[in-house]
Amino acid sequence: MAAVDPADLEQRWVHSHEEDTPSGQVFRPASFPFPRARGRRSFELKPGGRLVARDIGPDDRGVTTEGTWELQGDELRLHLGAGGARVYRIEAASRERLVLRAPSA
Amino acid sequence: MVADARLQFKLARKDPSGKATSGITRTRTTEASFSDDDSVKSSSTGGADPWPADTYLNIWVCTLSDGLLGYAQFPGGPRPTDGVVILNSAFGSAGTATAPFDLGRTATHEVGHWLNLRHIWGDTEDCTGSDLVSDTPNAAGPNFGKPEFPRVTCGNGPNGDMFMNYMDYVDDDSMLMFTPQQVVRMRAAIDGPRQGVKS
Repeated sequence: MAAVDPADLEQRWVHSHEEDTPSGQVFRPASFPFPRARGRRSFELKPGGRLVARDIGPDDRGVTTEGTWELQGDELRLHLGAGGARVYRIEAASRERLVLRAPSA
Repeated sequence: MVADARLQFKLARKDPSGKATSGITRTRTTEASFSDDDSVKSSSTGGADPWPADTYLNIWVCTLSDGLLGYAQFPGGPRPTDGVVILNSAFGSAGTATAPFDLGRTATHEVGHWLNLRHIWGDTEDCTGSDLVSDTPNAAGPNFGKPEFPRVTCGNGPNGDMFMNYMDYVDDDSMLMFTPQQVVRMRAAIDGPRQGVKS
């Protein structure tokens, strides 16, 4: 895969689970016309390394956690403080579509 | 493996002041949509105030932003926001309801939360979370759409995730059951913190 440009990543990414593949999770910008869902995970990669993650909460509301993010080669690391770190391998990245391999895959 | 919750809900026949009611109120709003911040639950923010939550289950039906189907509140939360919120296009099986959320299952799911049920995957995106129920298999995360059987995660083979449970995230026509231990948990809620709603 070609080197990932960090500038492509700096936006809010929302899980487009309808497009997931067996090995990859697909994320789209918040402006993407998503269909209805019981919940969607998202994370915002801000310039300067600040991270705002929004997970599905136990009562279906979003739960926001702040942290930091970094890009090392094709590895995206999300640091969520007490929530620990999530490390993903980037399978594809553009301004319109981000594909991450799940941590366990 | 499948259990009947033995719970039925009826529209209220008396409002908080004792007057006859259809159990449905309609509120005109200038808000284009509501988020999951409880603003639909107060007339001061464009919504409708709840009826006393110790004796009524409040269900707000409205337009929600970001495609969200609904959200709930567990027993023991603040009374002024107690109840469930459901997207108008995912409520019931007629009228504004549209596929694949047109069988009333969003209300089933949200009222499950209102009766203290957790998501089938235990609310973590790995295998460490629990739904606090012993007869549902451990699962890694939510399932969506119409999954193909089996969906094995967290070593839960051969049958895999119980994605057909009302407390997963699948389409309405793909969820169809509670387990006996989920029913035990709901009965504990309706006999405990929710007992004022019983007739």
